[in-house]
Amino acid sequence: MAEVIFKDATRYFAGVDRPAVNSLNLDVPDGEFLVLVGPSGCGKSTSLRMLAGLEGVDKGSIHIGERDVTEVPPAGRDIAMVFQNYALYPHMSVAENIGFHLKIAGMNKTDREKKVREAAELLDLAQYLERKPAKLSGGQRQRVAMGRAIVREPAVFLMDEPLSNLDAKLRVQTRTQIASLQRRLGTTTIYVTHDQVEAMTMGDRVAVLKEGVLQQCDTPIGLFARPANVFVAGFIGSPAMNLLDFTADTLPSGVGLTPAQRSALTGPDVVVGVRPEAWETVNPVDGLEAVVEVVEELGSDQYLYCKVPNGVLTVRTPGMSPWQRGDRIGLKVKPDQAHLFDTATGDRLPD
Amino acid sequence: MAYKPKPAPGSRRFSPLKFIGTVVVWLVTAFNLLVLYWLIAAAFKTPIEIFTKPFALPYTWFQRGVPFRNFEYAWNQAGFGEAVVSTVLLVGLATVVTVAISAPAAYALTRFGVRGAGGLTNVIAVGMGVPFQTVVIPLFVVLSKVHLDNIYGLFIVYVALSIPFTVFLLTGFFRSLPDELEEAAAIDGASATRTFFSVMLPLARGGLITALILNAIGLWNETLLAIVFLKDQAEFTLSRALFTFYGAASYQSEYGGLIAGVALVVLPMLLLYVVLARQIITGLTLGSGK
Repeated sequence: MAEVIFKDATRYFAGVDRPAVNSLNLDVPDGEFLVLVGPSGCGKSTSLRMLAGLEGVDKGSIHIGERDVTEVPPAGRDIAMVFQNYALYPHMSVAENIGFHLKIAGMNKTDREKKVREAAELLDLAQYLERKPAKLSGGQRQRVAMGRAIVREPAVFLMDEPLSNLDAKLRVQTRTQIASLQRRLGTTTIYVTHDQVEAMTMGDRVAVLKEGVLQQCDTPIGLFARPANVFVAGFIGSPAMNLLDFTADTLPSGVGLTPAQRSALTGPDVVVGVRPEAWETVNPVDGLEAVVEVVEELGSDQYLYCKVPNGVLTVRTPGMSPWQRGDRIGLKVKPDQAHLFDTATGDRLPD
Repeated sequence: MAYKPKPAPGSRRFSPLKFIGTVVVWLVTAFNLLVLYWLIAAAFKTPIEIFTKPFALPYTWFQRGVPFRNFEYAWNQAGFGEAVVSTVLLVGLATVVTVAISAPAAYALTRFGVRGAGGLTNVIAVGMGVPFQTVVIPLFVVLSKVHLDNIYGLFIVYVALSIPFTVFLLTGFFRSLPDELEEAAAIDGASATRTFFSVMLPLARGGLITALILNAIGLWNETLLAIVFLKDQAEFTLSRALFTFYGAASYQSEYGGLIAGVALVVLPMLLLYVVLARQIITGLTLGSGK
């Protein structure tokens, strides 16, 4: 049980001037499930590997609980890690894989077997203990990797995209299993993913990274409702938020700047962000006139991709709506549903 | 009746190149099989049979009720019995020691990320390109000065000459193993030594076996160095004993015994290779592709 603190943690890679992780400051309280999310190359995996001790820290420091672990080797950090490709030892049985750490730590055989059995039962692996990893399905291997982590009862779990090798259906199931397991064990967990749905559904808090810089760290609701900048606005939410360029004086009807927002603006231009579900469909004359180009019917929802003079907008309507390709519709932003950003800085204007 | 899947369109067409290739492969195979047959048959024949009926089945020794007479002669009169013991010990030890030195070396060269490791690997690989025939005389001079011009010196030379190839072969194996396994072991608290012995070495087992077999075959057949270094008949290896026997057999017309001796040298390694061929081929190609 421990909190995790990144203090100005910075990591450079040889031959690259821009740091892979740039002055990362994060404070993860004890028992929290924190998700690091971002596009590939954003530094999320590097941050996790720095915490694991697999990557050096060039500047700043990393703390686990009371301890500064910046210079502590991985074995001494009281962490367990689940790798993207699981990194199971192919020549060892499931039981040996799960118990490898305990064996190295010098635990006697009976205690070890008991612990391995408990972990295996928790993960529904008890009947596979004697098998080699090659004889397991992808989902079972994933659970063995989890078992190897939980049997240690570490201070922190580190997970590096542990679901990316599973098929879509299993990924959704395992997502819930991992989240509920973590809540039951109450162990601080840092989870890396590039999938924003995983991030939103699993994390107590989500930290969004881009090009090595932390963009925003908030609860899933906070990220969704109040994205701190244009990048977070576009990254979180599926389908992505519509980002429209306007000037401060030519905003569409229903959207206006408060005096505080106007004074916070550094240039003449404003980005108006509207989520697909924040559009209201009205008569063409009453709103932004658009032509339906593509209709995506999902049953429960329907996504319309509509052509407007300066681009294509995504609109979410209830499933089985009667829209057809080529229909002319009017679009209006629902009250208080627009997100406003300063085009020059990309930052959110104060509410 | 088993269902025969239809081949892909176009693959049935007659190709002259493929035809020639098939013919050549079968000719070479047939020739080798013939030589093998001749060797085994002649090992059971009298010299008269060998020269008058080279491809007939042996009968004289069988008629007289001593079918293994030639082998007995080679084993007892020509010193092959002692030579087998020396050879098995020498080749076995040299092979094991070579791999025991090369495996940690290859692991360190590929995995520790030490500066200059790539260059060092190349330097070791260059050792494969030096024909050992060119260094036989200096080797002998140096080793005789320290009184190692005997089977112990030969052992050292065998190990030293086998290391470059073995290290080179094993670096390919260790390089092909995923990094995550080492990282997982590090997080599990395993030391570098423990990681090597409990995680990496078992995974490189295929490579280790390949290295053992290839070295064993090479050293078993090695003759030149054995001739140079071994003077005491008690220390003779099989190939060295065969060389002496060859000289003597010409005078005594003991061609049956001589060929039985050849068979004793050739067949064990041939059998080893046939049994383990699949292992060797996967071993040689692993690490080259994905």
